[in-house]
Amino acid sequence: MKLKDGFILREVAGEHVVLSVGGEVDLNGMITLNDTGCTLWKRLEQEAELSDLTDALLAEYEVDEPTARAAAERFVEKLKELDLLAGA
Amino acid sequence: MLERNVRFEELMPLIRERIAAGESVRFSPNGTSMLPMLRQGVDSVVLSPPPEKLKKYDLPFYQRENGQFVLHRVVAVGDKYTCIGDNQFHFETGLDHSQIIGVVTAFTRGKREHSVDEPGYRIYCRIWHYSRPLRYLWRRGIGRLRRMFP
Repeated sequence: MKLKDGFILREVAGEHVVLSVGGEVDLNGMITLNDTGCTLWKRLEQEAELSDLTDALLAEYEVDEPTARAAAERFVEKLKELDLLAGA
Repeated sequence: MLERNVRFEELMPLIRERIAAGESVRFSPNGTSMLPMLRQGVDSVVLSPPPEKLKKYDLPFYQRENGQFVLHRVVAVGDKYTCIGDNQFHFETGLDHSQIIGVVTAFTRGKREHSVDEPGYRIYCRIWHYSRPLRYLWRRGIGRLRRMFP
C-alpha cells in the first residue's frame, strides 16, 4: 500500500500538517498528525506493507510489537476511511 | 494520530507559499463582517494569486499593518484601495497592494459553488454596495426604536 499522490506534509507551529495540493489547497480538509502518525505517513510515501509500518514504529519508539502493529493497523484503517491510500 | 488543531493564523506562511506557487487555497473565513454573503463555519472561499491591480468589488484577503488578516471588498481603486466588509459601514482606506495575499475567485455558499464572474454575484456586489446608506439608516432607526421601546 502507498499514499495517494497530491499531498504534502509540513510542520506548522510544531504540528505535522497534511494538505492536498495540485491546483487547490483545501484548508477545510486539513489533517494534522501526531509524531506516530507522521512516522507512518512518511513510511507510506513509499510502497509499504503493514509489517513495514510496524517495523518503522519499532525502530523509532520504545513499544512492543503487538502495540506497534495495532497502532499501524488503526492508522491504515483511518487512511482508508479518509480515502488517502492509492488503489484502496 | 490524525487530528485537527492548528490555528488559522499559524497556517499563513503555508497559505502565502501555495499562493506564491500559483495555487488556490480554500478556507472558511471567520467573523461576521462579510454577511450576508459569507457565514462563518458554513461557507468557504477559494483564494487565488492576486492580479497586478485589483478592481472595484474584488474580494481580497490581506494583512493589516497591525498584523490582522482580513477578507473585505474593494469599493474604490486609486493608488491605494478602499475596502469594507459587506456587513460594515466604516470604510478602511489606504490599503497598499503589497498587503494583499490573494483574491477570492470562487466561493461556496451552502452546498453551491459560485464563481465571482457569475452575473448574479456581480449584481449582488453592486446592489449591496449602493444600498449601504439606506441599510445604515435602517439599522440606526431600528437601534433607536429598540432604545425607545426596550
